[in-house]
Amino acid sequence: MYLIFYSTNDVYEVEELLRENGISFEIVPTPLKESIYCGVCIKTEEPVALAKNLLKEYRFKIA
Amino acid sequence: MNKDYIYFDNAATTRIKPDEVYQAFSYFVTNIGASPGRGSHPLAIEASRMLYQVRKTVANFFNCPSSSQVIFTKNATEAANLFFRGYLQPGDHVLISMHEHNAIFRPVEQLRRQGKISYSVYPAPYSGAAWDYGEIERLITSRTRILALSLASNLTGEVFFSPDIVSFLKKHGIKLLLDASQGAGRLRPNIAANGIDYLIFTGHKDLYGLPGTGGLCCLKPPEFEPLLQGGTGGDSSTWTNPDATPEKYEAGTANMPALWSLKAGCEYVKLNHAAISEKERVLYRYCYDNLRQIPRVKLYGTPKREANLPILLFNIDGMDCQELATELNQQRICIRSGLHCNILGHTSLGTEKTGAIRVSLDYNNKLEEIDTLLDIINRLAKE
Repeated sequence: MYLIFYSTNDVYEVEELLRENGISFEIVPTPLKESIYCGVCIKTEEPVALAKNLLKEYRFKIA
Repeated sequence: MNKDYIYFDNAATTRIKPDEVYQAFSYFVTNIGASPGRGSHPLAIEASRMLYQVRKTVANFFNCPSSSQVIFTKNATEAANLFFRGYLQPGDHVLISMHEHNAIFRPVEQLRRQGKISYSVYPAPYSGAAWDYGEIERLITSRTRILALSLASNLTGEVFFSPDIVSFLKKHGIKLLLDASQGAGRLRPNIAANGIDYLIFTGHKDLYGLPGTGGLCCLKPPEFEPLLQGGTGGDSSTWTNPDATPEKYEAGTANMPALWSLKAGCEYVKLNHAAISEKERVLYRYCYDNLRQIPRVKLYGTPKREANLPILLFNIDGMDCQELATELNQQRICIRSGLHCNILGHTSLGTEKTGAIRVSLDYNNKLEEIDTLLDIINRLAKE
């Protein structure tokens, strides 16, 4: 799944958060159909609930 | 070349930076060299990651609640323009202190000339003196939204900010804009603990960054209009900057080599704060104690100097300050003379017609350099 953020700064803040929580992920280009968001997003196979729980403070969508 | 000059213009720009700052610059231009937020290739991602780390460092340095509430600009002047032009609404009223630098004064005056806002100049006390809140209350109108105040004077080093002002302003529903251009690294204002609504800073002075960096830190997420429209790296399909903070306030390519150096500068200051402050106290006291004993030297500012930044402003009675500056320049001593981009401050000191000589010291100066300056001043004062 993709975690797609409005703000680029949030991508890298979340990157740090995921790393601290031992969640595997990758930073990849945002799929073009989601181009209303920033240029890169986070791709992870971790369960949606876990990601959502960690990211309550952020403006993002899951695709 | 460094040894050839005695550099006492640190209030304009600190000339000698810690090695870590030069190394950071070199690392970025040699190993990264790409733009943050532009593209998704590995170097762009690494540059973006580094930009976030700079933001986090600055947020920690000033205790700003979130890295996303740190907006980078090219200096404090741009940050002031971003703030005033974005935040103020037509008809608003602003209070600025009688010590404000032109970076605050001119944007506000220009908005007044354009018929958009009005402003009043209020008296702010020198280091340690009590605020006259009654005087400020008389200037407040129903449209007063902002009080702007310098953390410290770029002329005399006196510290103006006191946390008390924040509770006074809260009572009146007025926000504080603190200009921390002078003293950000030495006094380290604490945004969250002191309730500083907006703080502007510049990187190239006592934070030891390179020129070309500065910013606006916000206590709460900013909701005003950006100063610049252009590429932000995200959502390129919209016709104006997308609503993403902080990027919407930072259109255009960031000065990433200098920003990465700023991180190194902030870390250096944080780690060495006590040693830097102690050394500067010694230099400042030595310079002040000796200057004041030279006949015809007139020093400006309060005699209560313990809390001041290491900046001294003076004239030799009967001698034009520009003449004195020329003499010092010829001896390869770098000081700054004139009005120092602060006509309000000079007016409040009564030196708006004469200007003055400013000696601004830094941790990297030496007592022997001050001796050289004192010898020349002594000689000139006797002529």
